[in-house]
Amino acid sequence: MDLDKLPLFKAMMRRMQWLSERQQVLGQNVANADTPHYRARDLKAPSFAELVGRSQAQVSLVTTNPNHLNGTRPPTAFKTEADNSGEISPSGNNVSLEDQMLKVSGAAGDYQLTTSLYKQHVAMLKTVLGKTQ
Amino acid sequence: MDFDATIRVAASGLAAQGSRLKVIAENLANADSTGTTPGAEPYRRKIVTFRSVLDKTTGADLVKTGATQTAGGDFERRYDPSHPAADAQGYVMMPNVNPLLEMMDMREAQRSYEANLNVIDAARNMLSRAIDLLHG
Repeated sequence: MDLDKLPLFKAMMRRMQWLSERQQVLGQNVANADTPHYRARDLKAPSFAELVGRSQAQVSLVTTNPNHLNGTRPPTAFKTEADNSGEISPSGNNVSLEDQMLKVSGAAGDYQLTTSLYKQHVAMLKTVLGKTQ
Repeated sequence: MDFDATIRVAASGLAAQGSRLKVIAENLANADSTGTTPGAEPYRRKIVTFRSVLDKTTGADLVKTGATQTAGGDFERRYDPSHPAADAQGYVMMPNVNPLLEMMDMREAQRSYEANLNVIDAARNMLSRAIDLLHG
């Protein structure tokens, strides 16, 4: 059973991917909370319009010459944006630890919600198949 | 894996705050370290610097401590003619360490350390949630 083929599961997978990537960006902010001139960043929330427009997915560059170099990392599907909510300190840093902690715990909660939903839907499918859980 | 990168970034933050605490301890321990010869300079307060470094494998901005710098500023002069470091007028130069400042810096390092630990905790929690999907 390939769950990825079902749009609902696909959407949940994307949500989890977004949350885990966001956690990385937030982690970066917290680690750099004392770095001079560091500006806080956040991951842009995917919008519905963007999701619809993304049906033809990402286009990657073609290597037409052996001298062309591909990036070592795959292009990320989500955009980072500047987070200007914090006050800029004299050192030029605008990371607010309280803000970041709120966001970190919020992302962890959202992730938990998504995995619970995922579990529920798998359980429903199992019920349809007539298997005991 | 994003969680892996998250934990790595937070761990770099822990390490940076750890070395910051080390420098603070050095300052506090040497708060009374004077010179030994007449007119010699005492211990000078050290300051740790942070900078963010791009980790090429994960694409994340890690934090590293840069070279430790010494703080400028005048030394406090104390009248103590019998001291080996006393100058011709009988004054001894004391280190420019302010214990109050160091304590404040220490608290800040502690808070930043806790924040990084929180991030690791959240990332691990999310990871175990994902693994929990296997249990059905």
